[in-house]
Amino acid sequence: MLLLTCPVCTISADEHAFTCGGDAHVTRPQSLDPSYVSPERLGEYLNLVPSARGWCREQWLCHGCNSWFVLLRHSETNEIASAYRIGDAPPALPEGAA
Amino acid sequence: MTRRYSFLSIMREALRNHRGWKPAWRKADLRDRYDVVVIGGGGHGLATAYYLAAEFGITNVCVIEKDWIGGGNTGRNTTIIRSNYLQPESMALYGLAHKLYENLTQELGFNVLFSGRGLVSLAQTRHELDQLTRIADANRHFGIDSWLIPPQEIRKHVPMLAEDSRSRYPILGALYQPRGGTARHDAVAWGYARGASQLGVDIVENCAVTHLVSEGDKVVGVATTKGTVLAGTVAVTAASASAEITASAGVRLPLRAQTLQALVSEPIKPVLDVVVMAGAVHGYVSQSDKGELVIGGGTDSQIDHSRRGAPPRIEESAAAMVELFPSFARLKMMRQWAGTVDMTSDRSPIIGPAGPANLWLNCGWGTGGFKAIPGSGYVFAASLANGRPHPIAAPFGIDRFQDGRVIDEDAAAAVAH
Repeated sequence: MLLLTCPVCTISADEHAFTCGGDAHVTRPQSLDPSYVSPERLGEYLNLVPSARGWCREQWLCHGCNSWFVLLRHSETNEIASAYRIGDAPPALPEGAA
Repeated sequence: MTRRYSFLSIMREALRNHRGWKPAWRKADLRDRYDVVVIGGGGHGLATAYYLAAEFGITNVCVIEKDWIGGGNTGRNTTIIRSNYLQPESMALYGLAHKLYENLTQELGFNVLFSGRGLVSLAQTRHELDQLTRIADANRHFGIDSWLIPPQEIRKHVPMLAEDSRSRYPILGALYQPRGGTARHDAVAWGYARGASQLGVDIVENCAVTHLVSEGDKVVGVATTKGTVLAGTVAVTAASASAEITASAGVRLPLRAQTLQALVSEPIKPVLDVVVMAGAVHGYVSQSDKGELVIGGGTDSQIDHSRRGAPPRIEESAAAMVELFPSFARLKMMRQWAGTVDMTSDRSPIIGPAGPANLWLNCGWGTGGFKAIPGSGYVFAASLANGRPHPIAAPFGIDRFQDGRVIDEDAAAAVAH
């Protein structure tokens, strides 16, 4: 079971108190001119999500303070490296990570 | 040497102290080259190899499996078989699989314990009733034998259901498929492995693929922990491991790897002789021949390859069971396990060419692959043998995501099963 600490309100709780909201740091292709964003690029944005074994940066919702934050977690060992606020510079991967 | 299972062979072997039985499949050594290399020795890969040999005469085939065959999702599912999906493309594919399952024991000469005991998918909200009504109409239109039944008929099939007066979610109706049911999941893998092996297919276990070998934009072989093998065609049936394999040929797959858990209760006397699915409370259950209740629920939402799972989803599944069957609250749960499901955005599989020449995909079955194994194996083998997608497989190509031609089965796959 994941034990998370919210970086916004600092409560520590198990995953019952949080909800996973998908991948962090994903930028939707933006343009005022729809012909500028190719179907391939839009298709990639919609369908190709990071899903590999290894370190994942995900958005999680804290039920305590209702804020979203980013979790850096390993998808195979479920080790948690850090949790940081959205908008903060993403911390580096742990030492020795691929 | 005894290969066939029959009354006579059992009698003969009994007289010889059962010393003549051969292993059900050969543990082959990896050769240098095959016409077809199938990566992933689960139900889909083994069924593909079997039909390549049995239906299309292609026997120079190898199935490469990184652990033991059927040890992935084929050995971890809750064994539900049904074909009452929403979209016609799905009904064609799962309908074929369902028909093949009904005769699979005879086809393979290996008892897969198929039990078409009936499947009841409950509607416990007005929205769910509308949804199941729509699916029932689609089923009737396409020719899948599945229809809505009212509460009094549901209670004849499932007498242990809670009284409505006690329920937070009363039973409003159900989608009923009388031919739906279960099979022994391991036996499906073993039966296909035995059939394929007897026809000359090599099955190599404990052999992991490290990368695909390409020449230009053609895939020509597979590098493994037991050496490199050349292949005329490479077929990837590796579920959540597919993405890292195809990445080595520059192909990215639209799959999310998530954890799905299941659990079994202590064995009890027969209390449930149909499969029950309940989307609103998010759980599903059947009773095995040993008397255990086999229970499943929803997936975790984060990316996870650990195959471990954690209490939150188990608590949800248990809560669903207690809502439906209050008497089950007193049962002890014996065992819990998890697998990694490869989820697509439309809850439909990916079957077809991958892009580079000679590379084919059959993955993305997510939470619902077991029921499709014979149909998937058959149409995939036909596609590989003929060099073009079988008509039933064709709509499931990977291009559909780019083109927006998704085959949306989120409703019919409502509960992860």
